[in-house]
Amino acid sequence: MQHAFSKTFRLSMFVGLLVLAAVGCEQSTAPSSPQATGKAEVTFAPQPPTTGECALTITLTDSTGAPFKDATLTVEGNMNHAGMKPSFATMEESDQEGVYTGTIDFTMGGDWFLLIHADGQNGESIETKVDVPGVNAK
Amino acid sequence: MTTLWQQRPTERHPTQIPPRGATGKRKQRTSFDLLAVPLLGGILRRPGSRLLVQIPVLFVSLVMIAHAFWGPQLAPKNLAALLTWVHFRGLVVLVLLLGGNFFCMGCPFMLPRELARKLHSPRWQWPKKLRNKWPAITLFVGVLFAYELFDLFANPWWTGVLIVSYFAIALLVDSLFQRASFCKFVCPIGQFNFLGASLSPLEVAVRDTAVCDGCVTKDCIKGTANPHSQTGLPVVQRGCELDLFQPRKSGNLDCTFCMDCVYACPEDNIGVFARMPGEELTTVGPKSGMGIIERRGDFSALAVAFTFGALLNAFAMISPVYALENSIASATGLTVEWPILSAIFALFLIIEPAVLLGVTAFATQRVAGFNEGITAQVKRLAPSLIPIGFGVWLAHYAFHFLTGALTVVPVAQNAVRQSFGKAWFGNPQWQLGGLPESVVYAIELGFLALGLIGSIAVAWTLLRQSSFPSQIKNVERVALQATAPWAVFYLTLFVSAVWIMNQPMDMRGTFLGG
Ligand code: SF4
Ligand code: SF4
Repeated sequence: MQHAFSKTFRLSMFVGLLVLAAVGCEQSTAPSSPQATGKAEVTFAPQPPTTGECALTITLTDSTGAPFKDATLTVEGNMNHAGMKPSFATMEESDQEGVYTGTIDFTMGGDWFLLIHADGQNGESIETKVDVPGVNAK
Repeated sequence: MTTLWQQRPTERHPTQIPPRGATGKRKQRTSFDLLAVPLLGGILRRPGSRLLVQIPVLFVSLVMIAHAFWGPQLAPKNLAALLTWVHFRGLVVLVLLLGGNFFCMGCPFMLPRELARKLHSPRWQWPKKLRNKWPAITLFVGVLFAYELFDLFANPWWTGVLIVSYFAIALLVDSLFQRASFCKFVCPIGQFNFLGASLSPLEVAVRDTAVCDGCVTKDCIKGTANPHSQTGLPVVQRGCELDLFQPRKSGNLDCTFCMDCVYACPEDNIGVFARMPGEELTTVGPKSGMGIIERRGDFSALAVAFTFGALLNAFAMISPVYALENSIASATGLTVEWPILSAIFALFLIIEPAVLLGVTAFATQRVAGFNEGITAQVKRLAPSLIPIGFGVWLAHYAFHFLTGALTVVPVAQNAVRQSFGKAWFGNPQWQLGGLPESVVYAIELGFLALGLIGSIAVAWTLLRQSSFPSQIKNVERVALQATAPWAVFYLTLFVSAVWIMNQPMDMRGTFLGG
């Protein structure tokens, strides 16, 4: 029994270390927390945001400060606490270049953050995280 | 490493307590026995079967540690934060409610310790002054405090630090000290599970006390010695390292469901039996390995920390706590959180329980004309705190688990895709969540109501066993009257818990709008 224990234990430690190494490599393929490569300014209506549907206006500028126009934009809202389903916003570019409008559903009060990913027409992209602290419960 | 029981000079060896059958009536259990279930029972009875649970849990723990440090530092996308704060906590309380202390059985922290004990046998006995629940209470409150201060629910990296620290402390304590010192005296999760398991429907217990009466080896506590040895060493199968002597064991308190006693008993006289949840809280008198809990201040403090900690942990997730923090901050001019949080902890874990329990015991003393002092009454009634406390933990943790159970699927899919560059588990299905909040709310209320009923029932049963003054003729009526203040007290806790659960969850990690 003791021998079987050691063998099983050593094997599981080995497999565990392999997984540790594999999962540990994750950072090389994906940044753990997106860093801003351009700029995204977000405003909410109502301000401060409350739970439920909330209007979003996102102004994107590239690294030179020029409007980031005609982008394909995804906006994902998450709560700081694990275990909550993310909320995705539907966004469209407005008449103003680089200004996108849409709505997002804040399903619960508390701290949220938005993950904004925008792909431009000429291969540029903006990826950033915007904190939305203290969404008020209605 | 297995060690023989070593008698401590000032303690009675558990086997010196006469088996229940020797002094009382023979007791044979005929209720459902998990170990008699075909296949599963056979597996559980085999020495080492615990590894079947521990190894997968260790594997998951390693993945969680890796993801905590190298995965995305966003709690909803990180396996360490998600599995620790949503799935582990939720499953622990549900498994305790529906089964028993199977999480201690599958505890992965014990595997490194087993390995270490193969290389080096611990020499020391756990210090006598610390053979109580105070170290674990301190750690239990410390973890609750750190959870609020560092917003652990939103912080994968610190969650990883917590898991690694847990492994390290368990390894260190059990490498230095003999027997299951970490489980019995240090581990805050263990204490949580022990109290919760007092309400579980399954219990590790002897099948027939008459068999124990005739038993000469007492291997369930001493361990099984090598049959060819003259000295009784080495022990080839250890007995209960938590000092629970089966014939005198009463309930699940301090039992880790490790099954060592099952493996050791030469008569195959131990099973995992169905029983009435919570009944053990109503039995008074000496319990093997526990002593007389109604006289133990540390046990009462543990029950208080467990119950009021449940309310505090849930309260800290709703808006009024931020209003309270802000008002303390503006009254004192403080701009850092830890002293304010310390004041809130002192208020909810010391002052509030002291006032409420003191007033309740005083009222009972007056109603029933007890000679018993207020502190003695509170200690005697402390077990009745556990059902409502467990109800609040259940309602809170089940909320997170049931509303977010399926979020593990997209998070795991995402982790695999990012780790290996291939979507072997498919693309993340972010739309997966859990049960709607309205459904879970009804379940939460059910758990709270069960806790309320359990606490009042335990208080009433304990009060009926009081030594009433001789002039009291109608003991039943006076016992009922004596229960009334405790019923009001538990109703107050229940209403507070329902109020908390009714508040919109406001999981804000920011303090003072920062
Ligand atoms: S070893 Fe088995 S039979 Fe002997 S006292 Fe313990 S449980 Fe009873
Ligand atoms: S050996 Fe002790 S802790 Fe383990 S299952 Fe038996 S009674 Fe419980």
